[in-house]
Amino acid sequence: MTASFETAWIPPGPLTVADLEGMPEDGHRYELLDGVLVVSPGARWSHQFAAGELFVTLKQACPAHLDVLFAPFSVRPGADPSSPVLQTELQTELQPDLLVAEHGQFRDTELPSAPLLAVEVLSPSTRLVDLHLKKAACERMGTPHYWVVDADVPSLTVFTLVDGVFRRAAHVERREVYSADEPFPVRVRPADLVTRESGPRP
Amino acid sequence: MAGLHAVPETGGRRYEVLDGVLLVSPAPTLAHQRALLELMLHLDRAATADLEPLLGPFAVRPDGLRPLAELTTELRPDAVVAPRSAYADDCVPGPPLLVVEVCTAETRLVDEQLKRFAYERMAVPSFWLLDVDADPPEVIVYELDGASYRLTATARGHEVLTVARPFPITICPADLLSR
Repeated sequence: MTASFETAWIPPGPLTVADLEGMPEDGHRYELLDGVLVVSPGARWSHQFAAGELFVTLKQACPAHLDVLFAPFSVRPGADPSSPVLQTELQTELQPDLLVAEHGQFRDTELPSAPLLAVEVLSPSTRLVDLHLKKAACERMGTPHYWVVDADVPSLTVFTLVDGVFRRAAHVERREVYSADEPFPVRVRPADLVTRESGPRP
Repeated sequence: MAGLHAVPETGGRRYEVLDGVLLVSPAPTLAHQRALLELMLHLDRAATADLEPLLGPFAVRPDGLRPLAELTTELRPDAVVAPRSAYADDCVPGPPLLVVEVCTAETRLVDEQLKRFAYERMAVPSFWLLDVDADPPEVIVYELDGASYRLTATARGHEVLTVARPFPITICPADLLSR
């Protein structure tokens, strides 16, 4: 975080998703929750490696009518494709690390509804945000499945929406295998998401 | 974190940093400010001599005695209560006894689903949430039970709740918004 925050990229008045398009391309992730701006630092190697491995695993198992995408891609619940003016009223935009949704649900610039699956890979900075804030936001928008990867353990925790509330449906660590039925059949082993034990060169 | 202090408080927005994540909250609303003032008067009357309620946004830094550049968390709640001797000139350098967040429709999610867990991790003994946009307005009291917050009391509208910590006080949400 530097003095660049002094610049006037935060416009006056209530923030909407339209304002996010004016944010700098500085490697930070800019998200909006009910008008509260959340700016997360750029990801670390272990985060990107795990997200990348899981993306490939999901992509290979994904049926034709669904798409798997990786961040940054905007989830804007309530965005009405027929009303671009609404962009200046919407106050929530999330960018999950990975997301799965029906192919036909995507617009070119956004997913205007809850994804079928949102995945967050924890990092030291976003641990509280991912485990609580974004999980609560995904729950509220009706996301059926929310997965949390902790690359440090490594582990995968699966939350499933039951009567509008996320329940912890599974938790696997290291070489244990999670066999998902939803949003499509796929097997995930946390150890496979962090195979390169040596990590990056300093 | 040092960068945070270069941020202008333009438009009354609140800038906070949690584990290096920047949070920018909207400027407070009329109802927020009225309820907060009323609550402060209430806290001030009920406070014991050794404890000092302080109006926010005043910095709470869990590792506040370390150099600013090393800090990755600074939150600015609406009100805190701490022993008089616990305050530094520019922050509470450790967990206060009570943190109050007065929330609106915009900040309820962040206050309840993010900052609550930050204060829990800091081991702030009491965390109160006063939602002025809820219909009726409500107060929710969380208190540490071991390392975790437990919801220990709620009051909606004209209901009254009494808590013992950090000092005995009775709160009625409707009264806080009666101006």
